[in-house]
Amino acid sequence: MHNNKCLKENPNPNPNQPLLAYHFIQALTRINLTAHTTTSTKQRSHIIKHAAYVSMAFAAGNKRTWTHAVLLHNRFPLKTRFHRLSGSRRSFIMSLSRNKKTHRHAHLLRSLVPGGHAMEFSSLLMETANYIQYLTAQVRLMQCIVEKFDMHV
Amino acid sequence: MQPCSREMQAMALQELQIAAHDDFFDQMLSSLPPSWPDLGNPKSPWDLAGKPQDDPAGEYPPYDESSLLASRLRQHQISGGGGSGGSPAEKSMGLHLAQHQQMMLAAGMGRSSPVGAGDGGLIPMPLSLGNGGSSDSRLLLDRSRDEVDAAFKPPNSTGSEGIYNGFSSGSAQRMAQAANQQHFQGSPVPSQSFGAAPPSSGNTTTQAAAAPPRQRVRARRGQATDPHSIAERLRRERIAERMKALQELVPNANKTDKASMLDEIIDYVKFLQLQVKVLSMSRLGGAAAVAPLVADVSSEAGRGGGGGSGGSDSLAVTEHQVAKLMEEDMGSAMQYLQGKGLCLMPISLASAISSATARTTSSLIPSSLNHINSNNNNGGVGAGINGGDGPSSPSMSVLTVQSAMGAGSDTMKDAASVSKP
Repeated sequence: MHNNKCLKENPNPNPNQPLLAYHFIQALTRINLTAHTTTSTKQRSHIIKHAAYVSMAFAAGNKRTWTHAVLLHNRFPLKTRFHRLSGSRRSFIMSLSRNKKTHRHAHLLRSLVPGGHAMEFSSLLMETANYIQYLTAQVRLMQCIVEKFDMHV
Repeated sequence: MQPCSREMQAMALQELQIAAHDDFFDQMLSSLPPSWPDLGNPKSPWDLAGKPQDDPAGEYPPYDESSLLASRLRQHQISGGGGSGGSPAEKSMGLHLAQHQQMMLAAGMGRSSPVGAGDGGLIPMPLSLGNGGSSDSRLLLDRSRDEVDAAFKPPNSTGSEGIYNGFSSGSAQRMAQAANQQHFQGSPVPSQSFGAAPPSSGNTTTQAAAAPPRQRVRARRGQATDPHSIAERLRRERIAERMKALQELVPNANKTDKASMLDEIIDYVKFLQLQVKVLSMSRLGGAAAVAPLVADVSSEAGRGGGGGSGGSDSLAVTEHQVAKLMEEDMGSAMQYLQGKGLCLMPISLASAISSATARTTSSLIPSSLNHINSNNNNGGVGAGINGGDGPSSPSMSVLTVQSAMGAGSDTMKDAASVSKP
């Protein structure tokens, strides 16, 4: 019953679950082959986490800003290219959102969602929705894998 | 003489409009919301407005009327922020203005210029607009009054502050003076402020500050020429609909407040990212066995109800494993549990949580189990506390490891339970 629910349920059509699984498992096997025993536990968990995000971005396709940011960060881990909004537009938008609370929320959200600094608030919300969808799908996938592994122990 | 003053008024008005863009708009918009209670107040203006209806209306095309309406509304709202105090006096003056305007229109009826057409279109508007006509006529009256103020202000002040000051003080004198000129104002700006009405009226719905005692028309009319107000309105609508879409995604969707909803969204994103991190840590042991899993994944997908019994078995296995580990070393036991996405908690807490989840809806669970690792959609196993809410509701199965506690560690004197949320 776990397995069914893990793999089958997908109320919203957007996250393509088999594609997610394919990419993630591919990444895992690659990790398993390359960095087997040389890396420490912490390093390996970091690598796996990174692989999770990258496979998530792959499965999500190229239409989303956050996928761009994730893949870009993957390729150039130290290079942070800030595509900030242009000055006039940004000041206009910031003048509109005079509410300090929403501005704080927006800033927090921008820091959470990858690539959030380069977007306006409305598109940021859209990106967040998509990001949450894929995050939940990824988490479910990883839980399924963990469970399956435990059953074979 | 008349053309000169008209041009002057036109220039003044244009200046006014140009100046009235950004900061001014905020003040304006904050003061806009609505004088809806005042809609019912003046009966007499409405009676007076009945008189203009007698004029021949059919000569003028409707779009001229609406353009004039837009211009009136714009000037009305430009000066709208200033004068909440002097409204009763203003209303009476508005009556005079309406009468005066009517006279001017009658004088200008024969003109074929757009001025006359625009002005002539103003009065017959109550006739043509039907249901909305009543509020429109009041708006016209207000606008006519405001036009006076707006006309008078440019000579006196350049900034927004000046407009407010000018409006509140001594408007009575200016009314008489500007009454002669007020009807010229509509003409120069019909095309410009044609669209100013809808965004302004649309903005009245979005702001909720102190209301000036005027009537406002909320109906949208045609396009808006002012880009900032359009953009702002569109932006707010987009944000609202996207917040609604997000609300469906995030589990705790019962918040109506935008700020708390945003808080919830942020917390949920953090929680999901934390889950990914923890699950990637647990994947360490399993990374070695991933390859055989690839084949198994596809085979497991087709399997039917085997998961239920398998689930209970796995939990029992887990239980024994944890018990064994706890005898040796608490740290390894915790690590083992953590790898599985489980946690250790006192039985009292577990029973409290399970009883709470049995009673309440599943929305309670994600918040209470935020610090517990996995959020799995499980079939009810063990204690059987499954709400049965559907595929998306997490349920809890609680196992007790009381048997292991006899030989257990010092820190866990109380009975502990292994709970898999």
